[in-house]
Amino acid sequence: MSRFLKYVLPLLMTSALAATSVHAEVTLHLYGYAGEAVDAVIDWGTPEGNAGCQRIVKGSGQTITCALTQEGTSVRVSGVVPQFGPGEFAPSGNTVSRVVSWGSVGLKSLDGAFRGNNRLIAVPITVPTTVVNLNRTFQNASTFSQNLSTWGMALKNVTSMTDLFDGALSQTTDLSQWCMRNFDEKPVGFMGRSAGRYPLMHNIEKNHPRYGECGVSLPANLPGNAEITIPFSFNLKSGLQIWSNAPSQTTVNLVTFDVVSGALPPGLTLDPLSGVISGTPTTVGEYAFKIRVRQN
Amino acid sequence: MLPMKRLALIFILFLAAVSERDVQAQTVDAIRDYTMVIEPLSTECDRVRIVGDRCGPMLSVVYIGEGLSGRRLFTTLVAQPTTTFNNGGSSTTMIRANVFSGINGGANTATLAVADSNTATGTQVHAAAAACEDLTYDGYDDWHLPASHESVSLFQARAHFGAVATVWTSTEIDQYHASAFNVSTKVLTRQLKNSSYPVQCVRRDSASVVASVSCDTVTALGQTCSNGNVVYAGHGVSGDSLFTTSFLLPVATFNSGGTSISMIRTNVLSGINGAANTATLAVADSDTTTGIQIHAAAAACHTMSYGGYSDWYLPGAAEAVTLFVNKDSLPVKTGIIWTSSEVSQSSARMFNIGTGAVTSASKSGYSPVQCVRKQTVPGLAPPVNCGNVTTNGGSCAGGSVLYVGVNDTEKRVYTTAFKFPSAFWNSGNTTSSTMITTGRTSQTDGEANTAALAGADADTTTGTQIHNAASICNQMSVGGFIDWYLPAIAEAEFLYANRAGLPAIGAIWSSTEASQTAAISLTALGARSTLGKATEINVQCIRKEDALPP
Repeated sequence: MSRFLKYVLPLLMTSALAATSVHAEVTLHLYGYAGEAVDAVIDWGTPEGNAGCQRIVKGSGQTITCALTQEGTSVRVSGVVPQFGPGEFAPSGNTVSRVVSWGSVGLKSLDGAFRGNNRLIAVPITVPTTVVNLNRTFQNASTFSQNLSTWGMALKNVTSMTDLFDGALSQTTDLSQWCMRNFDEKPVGFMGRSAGRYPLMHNIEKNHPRYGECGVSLPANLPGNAEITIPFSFNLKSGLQIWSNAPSQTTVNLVTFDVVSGALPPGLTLDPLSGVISGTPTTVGEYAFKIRVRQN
Repeated sequence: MLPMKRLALIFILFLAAVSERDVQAQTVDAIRDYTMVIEPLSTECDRVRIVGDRCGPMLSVVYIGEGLSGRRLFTTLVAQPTTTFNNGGSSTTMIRANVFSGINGGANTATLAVADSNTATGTQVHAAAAACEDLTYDGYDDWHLPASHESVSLFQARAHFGAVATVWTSTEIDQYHASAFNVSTKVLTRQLKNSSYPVQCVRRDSASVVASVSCDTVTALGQTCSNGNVVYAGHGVSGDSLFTTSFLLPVATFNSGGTSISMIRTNVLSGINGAANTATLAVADSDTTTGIQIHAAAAACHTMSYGGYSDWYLPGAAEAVTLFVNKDSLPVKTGIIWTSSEVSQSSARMFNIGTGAVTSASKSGYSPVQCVRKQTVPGLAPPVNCGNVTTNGGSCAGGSVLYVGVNDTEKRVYTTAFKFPSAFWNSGNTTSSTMITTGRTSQTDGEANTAALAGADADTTTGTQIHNAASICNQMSVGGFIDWYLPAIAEAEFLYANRAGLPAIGAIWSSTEASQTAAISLTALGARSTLGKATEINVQCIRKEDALPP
């Protein structure tokens, strides 16, 4: 009893199936992830469902289908659900039409969660910061059009987004303020594998994500060329952009700068507080480096 | 079931608290790839950055800063040999080329290089211009003889090359004379064309200068913008923010240098609207001599492109008051400059930046030029609200407007925090027989007087001559208000009676006419005094609005 209470109400989903029959079918994929097992209890929302369908899922997880729910029924899942989705190899994901709340089930992966789901209407306006895997989450959910721009800063721990919007043809989300700190470049299939599978925002350049950035953007370019013996100075802070969805305490006065890979041209240094790169170049050559700005 | 529901609710609140803490601990960061190429020191002149930098294969071309024609300017490390402006021919054979531009030395040089300088048989070159036109120096062959005002860059960078004292410019004055420029003192002088001076050729960069810091962003008086030599000079008297250069241009004549007999009256008389004055003067012939002779001072500002801006003009005589009022915050604090306000066929107005005084001088006299430009800077718009000021002398509208008091018609009266320099009641015409009686004799209704005077001809001379004092108030826009007028004599007395909180006003014009040749003024002691309309005394504009309800 005490164990059940501990995990009560963490995941709440509403079934609003199109079927007009008294009973409707819902499929859920509840799995473990990265060595962590699933340990979940399902409330199917109807006496018939709870009496006739599987309610306990443990271990590595499984796919469960219950045909005894009703249109408009809320299905609740409690316990530990590391991955809400079937993963890479299943052709389709969960068949719910709305997710009302992600609760606190230790969710880490939404791999394939709504793959091919053409019933899906809405998911919560944010996502748990425990989530690290968004592979295939909306792949082929071709009618799903909810604006997910509000997920932005909550994605700070996500490390994989392969095929996230592949075939999600109705998606117009502005991704320019999605936290993409863990991505140097566009994940494979992120906005479609090929022509015909691109979401609508594929053609809206300004809405594309800013890879490697989260809440703040560095200037796009430095003065590309400098000459030896000629003093050089460039202030990174002057071109810094704080995103509108960055935490309220974010300010250019508190950020610090460092070179995280490569090296500045000999003779130049970066002041970590002022963000000024300055000095007199001493050696001819081409120099590539990565600069990081951050505020903790 | 009841205990379980209560426990569930408590648990949801706890989860919410965890979630909020998580957001507060959010980190922002960004990583970006950059590539920099460090190149060998270039000798190409397009790459230089700092005044004094050298370029060219032999590093003997010197960057002397942004020129006045919108391009960066270079000169030779060593001046070219001494030569004459013309071919050395005597005065009797000299030819007028009508090459007057003070800014565009490139065009001057191109014209002079092919123009005959002498009436002797055959074509005699203009030697100084040809010296630059034909010059190939350190890999460049696009040299020209700098124009008179263009030469200011030579003065500003004189420490970086082998500057000699006086050099020729490409700006002609008349048939016999051209301008020579003293690189050490920035003084232009009138020299016979067959005099001998060295030649300091210059060349222009290929790319136009772009303002590196927009002047839209200034926030404080005296703040620089653009290339660092454009300065915010304060709210102008025509409603916009006024900008000027951080330096005076060299001396110039108001006209092209022609003598009184051949001067032309332009009727460009406005004290406030220097931009319109300049645009008119820049294309008007200043002289009856064959060909078009420019108005040199106005043309210098009109053709100047500097700091990424090409909307410079010569300020009107009253408009220049901003340069005086705010001089303590501006780089140029002294100097008697030309204004764009004409007085007569032979004279125009000069303005003393150091004292705020206006004087009339012959158009052929030499005086420095201070170009200005204006633009709307959204962040500097004065708050248009004076209704809450109730103390005599209290300021509002950004400090530019002072509250005087409530007059006997229950109107709140305001004046400016500064007085305009002296102005004529009429256009400056001193010939009594040509003065016009306006009939604006009201001693109490300055608003109506001013409106009528501003639209009336002051003089029977050809063209329209404005009523100077009334037009200044009628045209000005200060503190966000455009309803200023020249007070009628009783209103001027009201100003005097409430002078306790106001700056010293002195003798001022009223808008009340006394006769065909005279108008009524108020002395510094508050007495009425009838003065000839061409007398010059100060102008103190006022405005009024309904008094606040009790």
